[in-house]
Amino acid sequence: MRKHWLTLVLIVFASLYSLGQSRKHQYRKDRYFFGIQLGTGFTQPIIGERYSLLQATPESANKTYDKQYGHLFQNSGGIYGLHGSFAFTKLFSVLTQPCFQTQRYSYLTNYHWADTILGGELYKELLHRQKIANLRIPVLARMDFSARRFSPYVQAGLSLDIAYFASQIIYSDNYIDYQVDRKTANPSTLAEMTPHVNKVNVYAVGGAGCTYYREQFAVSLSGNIRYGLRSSINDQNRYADYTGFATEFLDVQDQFNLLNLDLMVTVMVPIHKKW
Amino acid sequence: MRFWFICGLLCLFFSACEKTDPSTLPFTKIYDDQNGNRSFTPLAIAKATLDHGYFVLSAYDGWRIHLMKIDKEGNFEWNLFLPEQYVNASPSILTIDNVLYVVCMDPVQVDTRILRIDEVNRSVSQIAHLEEVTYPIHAHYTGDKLYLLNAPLSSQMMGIHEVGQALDTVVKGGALSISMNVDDLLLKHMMHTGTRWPFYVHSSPEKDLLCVNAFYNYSFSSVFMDSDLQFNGVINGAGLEGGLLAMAPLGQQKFAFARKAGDLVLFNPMLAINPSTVAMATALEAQGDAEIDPTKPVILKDVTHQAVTYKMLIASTRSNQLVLKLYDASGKKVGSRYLSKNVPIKACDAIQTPYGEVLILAQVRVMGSFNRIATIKLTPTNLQELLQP
Repeated sequence: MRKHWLTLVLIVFASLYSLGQSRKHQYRKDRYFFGIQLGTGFTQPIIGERYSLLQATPESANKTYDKQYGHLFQNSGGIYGLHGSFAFTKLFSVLTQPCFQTQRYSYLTNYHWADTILGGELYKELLHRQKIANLRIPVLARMDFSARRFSPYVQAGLSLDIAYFASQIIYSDNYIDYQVDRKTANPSTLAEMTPHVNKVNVYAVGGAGCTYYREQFAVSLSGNIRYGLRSSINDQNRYADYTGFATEFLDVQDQFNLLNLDLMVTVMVPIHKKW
Repeated sequence: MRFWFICGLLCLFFSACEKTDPSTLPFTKIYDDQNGNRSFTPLAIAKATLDHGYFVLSAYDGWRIHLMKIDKEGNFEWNLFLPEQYVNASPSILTIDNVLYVVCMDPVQVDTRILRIDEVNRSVSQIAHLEEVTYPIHAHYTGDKLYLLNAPLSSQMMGIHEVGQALDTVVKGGALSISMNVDDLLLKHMMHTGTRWPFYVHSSPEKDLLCVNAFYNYSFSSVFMDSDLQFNGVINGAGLEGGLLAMAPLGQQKFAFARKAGDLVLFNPMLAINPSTVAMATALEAQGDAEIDPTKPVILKDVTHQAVTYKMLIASTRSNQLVLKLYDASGKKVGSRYLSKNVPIKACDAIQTPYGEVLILAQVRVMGSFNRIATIKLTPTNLQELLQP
């Protein structure tokens, strides 16, 4: 899947570059651009504080119950939305890209108990997968490096994210091998965890990309890194157990801020300021 | 310029939002033990006297005794597995003159031992040995007097004893005749191998009356005794199947109680009962609550929120949840909340902390297999949410 993405991105870049080399300057000043965007985002929790429902004692097998988080590219989600921008100069523009975004993250936990009299042992490994659906409203300042049709740029700004739905599912198996195969593992029910997340968050956004401009349309490929300035989990509700998974799967969310890498394709049409 | 200024302000605002004192937040904690064959039955929780933490008293491996210290946030600090010479702890941690005590039994002499908890050295030491009180099953400190309830096997009697101020002598005693042999039930109760009976001793707010839940006269009954430990009245259970599960004297001969009728738990947050009466528990007016599991403890405690005192009922439901209900002074239910889901859970004790929180001690069957100690803290904010209509 990732290979396909990379191939597609390379092809589009190459074709835009070759077209861009042969074209004239593109007039952008005082123009609005409206369009749609599609993309994918990868999410990585940056852990601030770890929490565990199970408390280690001198009689525990483990001294900590730290969760093992999946890496960035294991946590992908979709992005789709709109694009609106206004070019104040031929190189400087301000844009917003309101969109829906799904953030995913997952972690592994494992536990072991042994019956020292009768000899029975219980191994449990759990894969906890979370999904947060957001409405995202970013406001970014963009600086282009070129006034030509093919124009690379950098952009930065802030994004207001409103989490409107979050859910969790847990897969379990009986082998501690630091992987849980979702095809064969036993899944829990899908539980809503919306009250566990902070509904409003502000992200710092920075990124780069390039746009190919034509008279009637423009296509942009961009990559943004976004970092949540506010932690994602609601402290007051951490142990409220809205999912019902707390005592059943010994699950409680850590405190973390989410880091996102978003890759997006935007197609837009220019509209002159003087309609 | 203005744009970036507003952005900066937003950043500062959201950064400031993060700083919450963790000790003010609610929590659920389960205390692990790798030994799959070990089963814990939490008995009591009490505030530590030297710091902001709490002590948890539990039974394990039958009637052995486990003592655990946790901090204000429910984090494990230290624990003690008491030696085999101390077993069958009474389900209470007594705070007497700012010192914590545990009442238990010597398994050979079968008499009562009183242990002092040394919070500094993380140990316990025996401070009293009451030979005349054999097979102790409950201890209650009224604030100035210590009462012990015991059940000497083979005697078909239960005893109630007042212990002197030095905690080393019995100064007064009373007896309740069972008139039948319940030794097997008592042994299973003490050894945690069968039904745990809701034995208790409560004193009325006026301290002129003791309410003793015990075997009495062929039944499991609630006996009212005067300050001389003489029989005053009784609410008879229907044989060994009925009786009260919990009772809280409210003063002026009013009581909150939960009783059992067959497979149903009934509750009344306030009923006037004449303590000189001889009545049947089945005759006490109460509202049935079909979801409460009658085989698990029912806890009645006072909780104060924003200077208003409520009666709090905590019980386990048949669907593996805890239910917490609050009743105001008139007996009207003003809020309820469910806690936990999906795994067997049993409320064992609850206290209100000095910070206005409710701390519930529970037994949770982790992964459906291992009985472990759990604590659940509800903050004043949670209580406020619970009280909202």
